[in-house]
Amino acid sequence: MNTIAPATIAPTGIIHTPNGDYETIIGVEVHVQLNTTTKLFCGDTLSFGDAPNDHTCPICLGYPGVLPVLNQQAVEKAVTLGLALGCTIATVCKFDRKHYFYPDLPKAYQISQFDEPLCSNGTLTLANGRVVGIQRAHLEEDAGKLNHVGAEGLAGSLYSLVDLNRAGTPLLEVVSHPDLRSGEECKEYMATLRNLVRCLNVCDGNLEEGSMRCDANVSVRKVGATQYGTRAEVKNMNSLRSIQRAVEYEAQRQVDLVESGGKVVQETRLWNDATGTTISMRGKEAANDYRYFPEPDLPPLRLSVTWLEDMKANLPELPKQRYERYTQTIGLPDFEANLLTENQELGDYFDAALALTADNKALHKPIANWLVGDITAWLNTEKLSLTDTKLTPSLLVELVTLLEAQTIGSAVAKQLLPELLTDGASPKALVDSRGLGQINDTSALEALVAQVLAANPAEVEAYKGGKTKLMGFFVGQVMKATQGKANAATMTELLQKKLAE
Amino acid sequence: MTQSTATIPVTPELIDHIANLSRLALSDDEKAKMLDELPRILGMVAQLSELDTSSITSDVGWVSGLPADASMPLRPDTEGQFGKRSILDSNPPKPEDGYFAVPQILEV
Repeated sequence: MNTIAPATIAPTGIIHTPNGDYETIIGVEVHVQLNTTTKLFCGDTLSFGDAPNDHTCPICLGYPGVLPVLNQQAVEKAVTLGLALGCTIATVCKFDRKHYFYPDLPKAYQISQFDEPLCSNGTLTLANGRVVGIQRAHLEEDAGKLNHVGAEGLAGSLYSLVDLNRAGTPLLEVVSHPDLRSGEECKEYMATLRNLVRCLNVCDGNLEEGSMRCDANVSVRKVGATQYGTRAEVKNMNSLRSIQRAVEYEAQRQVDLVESGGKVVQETRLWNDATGTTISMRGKEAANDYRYFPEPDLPPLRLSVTWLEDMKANLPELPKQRYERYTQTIGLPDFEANLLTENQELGDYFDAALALTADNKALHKPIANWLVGDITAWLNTEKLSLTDTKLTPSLLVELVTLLEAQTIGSAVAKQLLPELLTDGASPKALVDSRGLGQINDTSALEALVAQVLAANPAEVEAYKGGKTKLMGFFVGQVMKATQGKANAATMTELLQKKLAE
Repeated sequence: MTQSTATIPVTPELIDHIANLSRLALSDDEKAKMLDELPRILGMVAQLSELDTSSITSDVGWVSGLPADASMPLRPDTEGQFGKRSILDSNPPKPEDGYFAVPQILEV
């Protein structure tokens, strides 16, 4: 049916067709679950995976006559994220009721913020330097979860089971401007935001468990057009990869539709990760009419100047500031600084090691090297995180100190690493008890070099004949003979000298 | 800020729309009654909006007796268990393995 020639998506989000190029326009709404102890308006604890309805009470079940009381910690976490996004924080704001009927919403309204959001007008800067506008971030309560019986999903199910443990969980809905231009950029935006919420300790950032949920408003228009196209809202992406795929698929679908003479309709579409497609979700339903009105059970929320100043003063170092400290003060290369900033745990570990070596700056770069190099590689292979290991920052400092003092060579350090990570032994004690100290003595190394050269006359001949790549072979032989203990620099120098004779 | 309520024409379509949003099944008689009553209710609301409230900030009198600069009360983020689960379980029809069961959402 579709006779349109296959279009191609450039990483920039530009879709080429025989009739011209289209660009993708995306704005995203991210629901950030705030990691408070209790719910937004009642004292039930937050949970994931507990027995159904174990964390409910008359307030979050919407019993008649109950009154909501706002959780102060939720306000503080929301303001913290708002400040980190450079938002204006409203010193006075109110809550509103958003009405709709669905079994996961026991009150038949959600307490949200309509025209007076707590945070507005911020920005989030992506790694590529692009600045994405944040329109607003408002506080609201989450809904419960439904299990549909008799079918895989809602369609065809006989009845549904309601679990309201999640109902009333505090959410900060962060709404971006339509500033994003590709699926890849959406993924980058979400990753940057996730890094930020983790750094601020306002959310665990777990997309798979729904701690951060992203809805993308996707539209397309001819390059050069000034008006936005009709947008579709895409939901149900539970990984960074699925966000990128969903946006790319949806943009392509819209271009194909427009190119074949169709029109994009404003609707909500559900991403299906297995099929890699989006399907219309609420096609038959009338346009949303939420009948917002001010929540009469809650007077306005006022933030005192001292409270706001306290929250500003308590902001931790932001990822951008950490990156700048690593590159400018410590002098780390861009690559390592990025890895240590993107991974909160790795960065915190590095900072702990820095604190132990404040008087020995020469150790800072080697520590960073070990963390993003061999240690990360080992963690990836073993599918573990740093907290699962026994290597404390002080033990890593001990290892790097041995290396820098040339007590051991890097070959020995690499040999010891898995043991240090799993057993938490002292590197110094291991080196002493096993006699792994580096051989730095020139006369001892000279003897070893002479032995190796004498044992391999053919290779020596070839080297002298121009096969200088054989240097690696000789180095390997000396290392083998010393179980990796030879001082590599001295030994290489000696080899070169001998072979030049 | 709000559109004068008196200008909204109350039509049978509007009655149907509101009934649908409210999940109310109105009989023809009830719809006819609404068509008669709703314009008069809106008219009364419109009359209220004739009051000059320009000198009054929006949040005064939210809760009777609350000072104009008061904030809503906040609670500390500490657990407050309701602790009477059996009451919660006894109210909804057909609880199933701790879940509340609701009728079919989408009719086939």
